[in-house]
Amino acid sequence: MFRNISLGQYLPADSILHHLDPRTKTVAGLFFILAVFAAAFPLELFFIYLAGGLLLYLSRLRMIDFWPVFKPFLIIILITVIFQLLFIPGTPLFSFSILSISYEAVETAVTFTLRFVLLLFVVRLLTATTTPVALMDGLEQMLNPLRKLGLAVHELIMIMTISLRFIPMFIEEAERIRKAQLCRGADFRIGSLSSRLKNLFAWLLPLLRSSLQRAEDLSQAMEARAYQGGEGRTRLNILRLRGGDYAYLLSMAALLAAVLLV
Amino acid sequence: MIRLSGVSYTYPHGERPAIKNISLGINGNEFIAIMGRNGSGKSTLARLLNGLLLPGQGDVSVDGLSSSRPENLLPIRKKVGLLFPDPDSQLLANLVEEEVAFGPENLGLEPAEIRNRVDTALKMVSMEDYIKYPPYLLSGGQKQRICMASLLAMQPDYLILDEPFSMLDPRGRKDLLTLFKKMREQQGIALVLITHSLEEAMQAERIIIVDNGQIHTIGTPADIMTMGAQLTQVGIEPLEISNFIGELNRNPGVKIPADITDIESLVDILCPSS
Repeated sequence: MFRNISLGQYLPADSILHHLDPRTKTVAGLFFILAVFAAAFPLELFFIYLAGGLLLYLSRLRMIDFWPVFKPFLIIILITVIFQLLFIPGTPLFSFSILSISYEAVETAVTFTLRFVLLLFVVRLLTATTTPVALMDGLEQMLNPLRKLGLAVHELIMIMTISLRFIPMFIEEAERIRKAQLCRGADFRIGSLSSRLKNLFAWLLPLLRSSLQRAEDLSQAMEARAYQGGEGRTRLNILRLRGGDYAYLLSMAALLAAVLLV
Repeated sequence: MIRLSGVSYTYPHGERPAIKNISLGINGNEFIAIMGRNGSGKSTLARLLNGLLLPGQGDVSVDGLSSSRPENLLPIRKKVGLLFPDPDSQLLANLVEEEVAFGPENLGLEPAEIRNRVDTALKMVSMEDYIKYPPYLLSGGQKQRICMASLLAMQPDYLILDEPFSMLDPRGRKDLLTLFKKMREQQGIALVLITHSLEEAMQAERIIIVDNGQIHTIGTPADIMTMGAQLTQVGIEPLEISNFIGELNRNPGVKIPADITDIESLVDILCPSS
């Protein structure tokens, strides 16, 4: 039931991209996304696709790894494209009775699709080559200056990291409770709406209860280990930028600059 | 020394106190066991010892630091490690090394010192090969070892072990108990073991039986053995061997001392010629 949830999992590999600092990858990814939006059709977008191809090569991922992320968005892309084709006015390219598709509509639809695909590609590239924890670590260090403005950066990141850690456990727990209730005759699929709802509650309430209990237990365990929030806390692993990080950042910045200036 | 004087504690919305007027001293490098039925106040007592709960009345002090002063809580938690029953509810990191580093990071140590402590602590619990491993993929006993390493990395003087064996198989229990005793011998750490099993409690120097939020009995293992039927009244299952001796003593003319804990001594008494 929960097996098909895909959160853009990390795909371990020994590639150049995998070894870069998470901060580099996040910022470079932002540069790339900005470049995607600034790029004009068709020549500039073509060059960005070339750059994307190079990144794919550097990441050692396969095209098939990206498919699960694209799949849910296909329908959105399709609907948007149909609307754009039908409703964007301009020089008619061809008409069929009352339907008329303009040259501008085709250009907009193609550009939109190309950009959307690139966008998904970059996000997937980031999540496939960087562990969630590394991403969070990077985010924490980048957002750290905001602490001076009173934003609880460390606490927010800690909440997100722990949530990530508990997702598999939560799924396991949900599955266990569901099976326990099935054993006791509950059925979540057949029966009237009211009886199904009732059964659903018999599933959700214990799940909520056990999650709250876990949260309480964990907070106690953290406090017992002298956790007092981010103040005065140090880190075991400190992120360090290396030569490769600078090279990657610079090339992405150059790509963005080229798109903006040309 | 951890000193409790006249400590009472009532949970918020609780109808009656979970702990009533307990006074107790735990010496450095001592090994004591706390026993009692479910709901007798054992776990509440454990949480009072390291300032997770603050007494409603009375005072808890660790090496002279009273837990009633907020600025003492950090040094108290550094001195008093608390191991919880369920390892799954204490593991919060995605890698073993991050898990063990969590405590030292909270203490604000230098990265090199944290690394040093992580390595040493993992070696102490013989888990150094799992440093880059996700803790949730380990077995129950291994997880509890990682939790133990997480506490050792903070270099505590006292370890409160709240039913640490409840999720382990017999083999895991034996290994972990051996590890606790080793820590005490090598590091001079005082142990407070909260347990339901009299067999495990027998390893301690003193056994404290808590019932209804109060101290029922404090005694050496030998003292506790002679309590007989009283043990059952406070929710403690006597040792198999004690039940056996009890049955034997019902026979007229048979009189075997009640404080025998090991089979060898019993055999010696039953078959003096061998």
